[in-house]
Amino acid sequence: MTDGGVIFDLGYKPHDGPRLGAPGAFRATVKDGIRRVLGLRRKARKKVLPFLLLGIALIPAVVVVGAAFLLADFDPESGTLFGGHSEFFGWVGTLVLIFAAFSAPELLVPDRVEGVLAVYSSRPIRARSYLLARATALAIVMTAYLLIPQLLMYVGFSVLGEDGLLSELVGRGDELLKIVGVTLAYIVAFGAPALLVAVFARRTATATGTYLAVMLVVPGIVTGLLEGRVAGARFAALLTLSQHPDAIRDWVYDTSTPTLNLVRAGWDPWVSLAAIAIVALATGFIGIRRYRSEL
Amino acid sequence: MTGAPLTPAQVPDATVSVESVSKWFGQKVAVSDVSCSFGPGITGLLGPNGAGKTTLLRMLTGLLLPSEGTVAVLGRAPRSDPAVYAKVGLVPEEDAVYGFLSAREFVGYSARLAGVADPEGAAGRAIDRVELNDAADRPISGFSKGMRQRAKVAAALVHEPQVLVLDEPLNGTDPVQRAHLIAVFQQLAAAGHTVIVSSHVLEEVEKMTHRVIAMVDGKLAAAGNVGAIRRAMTDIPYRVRVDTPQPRVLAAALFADDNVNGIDVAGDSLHVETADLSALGTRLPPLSRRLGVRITAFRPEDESLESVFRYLVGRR
Amino acid sequence: MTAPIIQTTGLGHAYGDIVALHGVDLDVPPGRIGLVGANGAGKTTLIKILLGILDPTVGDVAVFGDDVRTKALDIRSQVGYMPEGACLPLAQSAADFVVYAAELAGIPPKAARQRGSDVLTLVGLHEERFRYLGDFSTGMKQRAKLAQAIVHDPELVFLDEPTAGLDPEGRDEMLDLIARLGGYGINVLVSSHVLVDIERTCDWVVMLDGGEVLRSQPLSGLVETGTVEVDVLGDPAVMAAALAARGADVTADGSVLAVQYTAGDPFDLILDVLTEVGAGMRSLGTRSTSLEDLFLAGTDGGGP
Repeated sequence: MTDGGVIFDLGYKPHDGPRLGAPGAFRATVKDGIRRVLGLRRKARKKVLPFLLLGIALIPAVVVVGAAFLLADFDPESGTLFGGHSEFFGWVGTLVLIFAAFSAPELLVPDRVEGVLAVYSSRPIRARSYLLARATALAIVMTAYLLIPQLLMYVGFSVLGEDGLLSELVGRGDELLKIVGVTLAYIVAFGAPALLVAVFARRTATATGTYLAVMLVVPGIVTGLLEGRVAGARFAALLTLSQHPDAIRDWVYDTSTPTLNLVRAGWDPWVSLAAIAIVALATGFIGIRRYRSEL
Repeated sequence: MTGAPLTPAQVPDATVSVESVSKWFGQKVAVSDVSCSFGPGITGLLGPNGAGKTTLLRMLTGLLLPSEGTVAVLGRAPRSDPAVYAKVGLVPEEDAVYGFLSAREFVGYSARLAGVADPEGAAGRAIDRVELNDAADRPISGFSKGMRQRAKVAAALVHEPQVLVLDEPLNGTDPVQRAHLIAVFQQLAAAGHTVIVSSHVLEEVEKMTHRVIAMVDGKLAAAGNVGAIRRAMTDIPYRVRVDTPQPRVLAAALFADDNVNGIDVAGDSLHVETADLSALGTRLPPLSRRLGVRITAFRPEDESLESVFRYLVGRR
Repeated sequence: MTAPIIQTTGLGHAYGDIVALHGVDLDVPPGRIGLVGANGAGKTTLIKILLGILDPTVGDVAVFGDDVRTKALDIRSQVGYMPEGACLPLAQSAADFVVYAAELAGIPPKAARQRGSDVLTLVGLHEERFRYLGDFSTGMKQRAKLAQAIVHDPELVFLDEPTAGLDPEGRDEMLDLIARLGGYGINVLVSSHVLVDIERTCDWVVMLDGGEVLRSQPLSGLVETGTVEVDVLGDPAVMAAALAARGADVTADGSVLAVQYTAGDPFDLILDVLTEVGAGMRSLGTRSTSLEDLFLAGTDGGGP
């Protein structure tokens, strides 16, 4: 039995540990961005869309992998509903576009409109890093949507292939390069304009609506212009931002989609590459200018 | 009002009277059985957030009907008699201004709404009064908070109301703007207007007036002259700080005094608790001479409105 | 003198044609600093420059010895900021956000979680910390704002109108919290229109007017005078006469007598005369000018 007594100091404690500076701030902003777009640690309804879209995106992958294990002579690349990697990009691309439409605004608009930038302004992070961190978060999640199902399918096809699993996985390695390259094209082509709109919008709904209008409605208008052989329609085709990654995909997989405005207008795929890059750079440049006075 | 004697919550020359007024919103009782009156001069309306002050003010200006009881402004019920609006001016806490209008346009608009003859002239005079001339023709959206407050006060004054009700009028004003606005209120009070000011910054209220109405949780907690309210708190002794280079000597002598309830020693300061402040203030000089002790401060610590308010709220 | 935490030389800043700051020279020591000035006097501009949000048009500015133009990120790792307006994300809980605010300042995630929790308790947010900030009352929001400003153990914290919108009780508690920050080793710079708040919490005051520095000095030197005041319980005229008869210089304002006495100790004199005359005192002490009076006297009068 002891006689002594002790009380513990519950007051303020200084922080003597490490301080991670600007890189720590950047990482934290990326993590927060990912949580925001997936609706984690927020109200339940914010999780609905991201997880619903993820579920839908996973369907073909699950079907292929499931079929691989259930059907002995199932030939994946012919006659299935979902086709192969190339076709998958086509339709999951739309899902990812919708995802970007709802996510990009969540990354930029609330912070700006609710005044949270004032908190960032006293942290070791400036306009460029902040925007880059938010873009990184968006890119990571968009990539996950595109890559996870594709990788699952890759594994599934490898299982179904003629050679053993391992040699299939390794032998078709260039397929992986194609997948990654085209994924990159999609995420930059869809993500950058979404962020650009979010830089200026005052409400998330406005940003989402504007983006969807530009990406989904404009193509139809341009098609009309092309069919009506309106002068200058050829250049208007370049504004079909949502189709540039499709052109890149066709280029990489050596397929063709004649209904694309860009194809109708006779543009080469490298023009799409340039267009995607230009939009991305413009987004960065304009975004930094806009945010510099607050951050 | 019957010939019953007036309580300190009432004034003899009342322009605004509140009789057993209650207001509830569903289950929530915002104001509970409040009776008081206001007359010419400045009266402060105080209370913690949620005490019912804004609800009471809205009933005074006719924006809300009491659930029970009567409100009378210049003898008439504000909600049912539109003529009352012409006699009452309200400066609400929210920014109820149209940003795209210039100050002059906004004040002119208020003048027209109130049916003032020569709205432009009246607007000009009101703007003059709050010293907003330099910025009068700029849009309000570009104004600082202090300037917006002045525009709101001008709009409330433009029809020369007999009764002026102000909800947190000094929010966001800098010391210069504040001193000026307080001067405007004091001029109005001196000219016989009834000015009711609700504010959280008690030191400011103290500068403007000695008469306050305090609400806590929808009920009237105290009313009347601040000093008198403090005196009425007979169960709370006064605290006074006495600075002296010989604290222990003085403390020992003070303990012999029946009126002293307790003494805290903190360095060269004594904090003395006494039920009778003036008795202590009269006995202390001769005592100090007898002891040969020098006293460099004798400062009551809880007579201020802020202390009184703390006690009122602490009693909840 | 210990090294100044804020040092400016010839600081000037203009937004296009509008000059917000001009010829500002400051050497501010560690401690609790009050920043006062009319609306438009340049307080917000100064804070933004110290935080590195704005680059000064001309002049040198150093915080903890670091130049704001080149070491803004280093400075920002050491400061906190409690802004005047809204700055809290409405769809996040207080607990979550304060931890994030710590991570943003470079505190490692595990330490951030611990510190976040500790700081919320410190500012008085208990079970409510798990609710969304959008549901908070003004008082709770101000506490959350203060929490994010100090969670990363900064060397200096900027508080912009910390008591705005608070009721008297809330204001009391906030001022108490601010007064305690010094004890935690945190320097404080409070920008406020409520001069009484500055009087209560600060030991140094910087007064700005029209973009220029009117004063930068310890508060005590500013407010103390050599005059002793006594509020007389009894007939002030009799007291005044008796004091004057002993050679004191007396001015009366109602029952309050302002006494100047160079031939000896004014307090002893007053106590002697009170005893002699049989009067009592309501209050006694050295007269101090209020910061407000000084401010009004010093400025031209009239913000925008």
